[in-house]
Amino acid sequence: MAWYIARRLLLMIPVILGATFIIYALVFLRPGDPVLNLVGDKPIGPDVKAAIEAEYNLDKPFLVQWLLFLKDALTFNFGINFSGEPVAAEIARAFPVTATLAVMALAIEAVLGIGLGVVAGLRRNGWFDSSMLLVTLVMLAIPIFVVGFVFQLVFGVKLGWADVTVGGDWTIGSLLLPAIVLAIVDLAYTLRLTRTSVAENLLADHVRTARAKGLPNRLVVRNHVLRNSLVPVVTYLGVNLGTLMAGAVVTEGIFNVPGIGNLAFDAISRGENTTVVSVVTVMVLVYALMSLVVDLLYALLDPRIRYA
Amino acid sequence: MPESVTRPGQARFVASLEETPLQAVDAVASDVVPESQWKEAWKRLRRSVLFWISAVIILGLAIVIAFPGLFTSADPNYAELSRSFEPPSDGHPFGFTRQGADVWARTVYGARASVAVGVLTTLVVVVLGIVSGAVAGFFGGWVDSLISRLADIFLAIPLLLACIVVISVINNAWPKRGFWGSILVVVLALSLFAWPQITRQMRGAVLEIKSLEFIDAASAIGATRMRNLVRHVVPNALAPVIVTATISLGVFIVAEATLSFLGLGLPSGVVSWGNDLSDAQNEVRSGQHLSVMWVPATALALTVLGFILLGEAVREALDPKASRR
Repeated sequence: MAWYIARRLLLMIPVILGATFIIYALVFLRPGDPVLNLVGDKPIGPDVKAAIEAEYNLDKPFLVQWLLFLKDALTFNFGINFSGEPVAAEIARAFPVTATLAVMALAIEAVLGIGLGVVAGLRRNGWFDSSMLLVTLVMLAIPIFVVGFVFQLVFGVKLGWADVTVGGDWTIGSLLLPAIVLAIVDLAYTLRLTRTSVAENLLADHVRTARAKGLPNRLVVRNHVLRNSLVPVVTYLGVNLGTLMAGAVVTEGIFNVPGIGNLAFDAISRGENTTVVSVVTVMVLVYALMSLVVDLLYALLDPRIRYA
Repeated sequence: MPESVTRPGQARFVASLEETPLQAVDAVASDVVPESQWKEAWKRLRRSVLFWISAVIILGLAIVIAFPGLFTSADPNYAELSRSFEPPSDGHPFGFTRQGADVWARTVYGARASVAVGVLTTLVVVVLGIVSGAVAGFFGGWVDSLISRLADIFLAIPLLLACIVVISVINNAWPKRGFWGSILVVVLALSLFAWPQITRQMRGAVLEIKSLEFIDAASAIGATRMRNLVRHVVPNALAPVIVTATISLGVFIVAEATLSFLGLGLPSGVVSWGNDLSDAQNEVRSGQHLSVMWVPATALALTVLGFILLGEAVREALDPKASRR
């Protein structure tokens, strides 16, 4: 197991190097002078420009810039943004918000998705299963920002049940509505995955054996069907935590959540390259770590899988 | 034919050989070609309700895209500020936008851009994914390692954020581009980060098919590796990819709308559902003139639903075991 973890950690290195390289190259290719993005409309002298370029390593060739970025990123030193604040501090402020939001969305997904999915799977092709199929298809077909706006209007503005926007001093309660919106699409996937997995397991040989030896239905379902069916669902949810964090850009925008999605989006529109690259690097790290956790979880849940 | 021997009483139960020619019943018609998996799948597909619902939606959509003039006589680009938020009237069934353009006409003409992005992105992603996945799975070795690592890298970058960066880069470099130029940019950005999923799936399917006996049989009678790959492995590994591709067509349409909503999809000059929905934000916030929102939103949801349903129907037709369970 230790060997497996070590090998997986080593395999993460090319992924992280490659991903940061691609983002760095894209941002670097962006036409326009990054120094002008910083100074705005005011004219600056050539010596000031040269000083700023030296400060941001802009005077060095592309590959050197990237390597210098990597070197600093190793110690979580992501440079400073246009307002002179360290990017690391900005990320440290925004990251907990997005992480909380993503974990809340994941909890909603897990509870509703698994609960409803199990019921639908146990009664395959019944009326509940069919109506759940319809509901999940509609959830997948409507863009998340439409759902966001409708929820904001209905539950925030009209009914006043939830905060319309979140803002700087966020609380768990104010994140509830955005978390529901964020969860919807992946809730549909979780539900369908659970349903298929349960329905498939119900017909497995070992379940037939359990029934044949006279085990009551309740115990068959609990010990033999559910335990096995949940393995793919749990792994899906694990990977999903990473994608939820990255996918929160739209939801964070609609509800004005001060998370890293908003941070990244604002940085892209301002041309604040250091922040963009840093945020994406952090997200790639989270994604890579979550996939590792999922693989290890897989081995824990399914004793047949052994990593040598 | 030998004389049939009958015992007393037997004649009542067993028909004589002349009446039931056994040979005809038991014979195997060796010259009949067995139906291909695609033909059988099509047979099952024709019986599926989901398939017919999706077919009606997609056919209707195709007609709207081909002949938008049949559904509205208004010009989607013509706007008169004096008609801002005018209620529905004759020939304008859903009223007017803030700018005074016909909501229904914009929705009808917007179908073209949204569907073009979905279809083209799916085509690019499928071609890239099938080729890279098949090569990786079939040849293995360093080619496989290279393609798989590349796929890992692109999969690790969050899709939406990556597209935002790519499009904002292109926006600065190529600000003035026509309708197809704008479509192309969104298609490129989406496909650049969406191919690894198909590659992984194709690679898995090819690995599975490659180890089956009929591939050895084909090699034994002298098929070259290339012929094996093109004629035997790829066609048999396509089924799961086709299902994913159909469903992701809908997902790409949603992605285009989301990018346009963020102001980075199609430029505002292009009539598309994403742009209409993006413009409708303020109306939704105030809770008035909601037709500006729900008309394009319904069109978009129906379209996406059509493609997801088609994907579901094809999945069930290609994998009858799963649906019969």
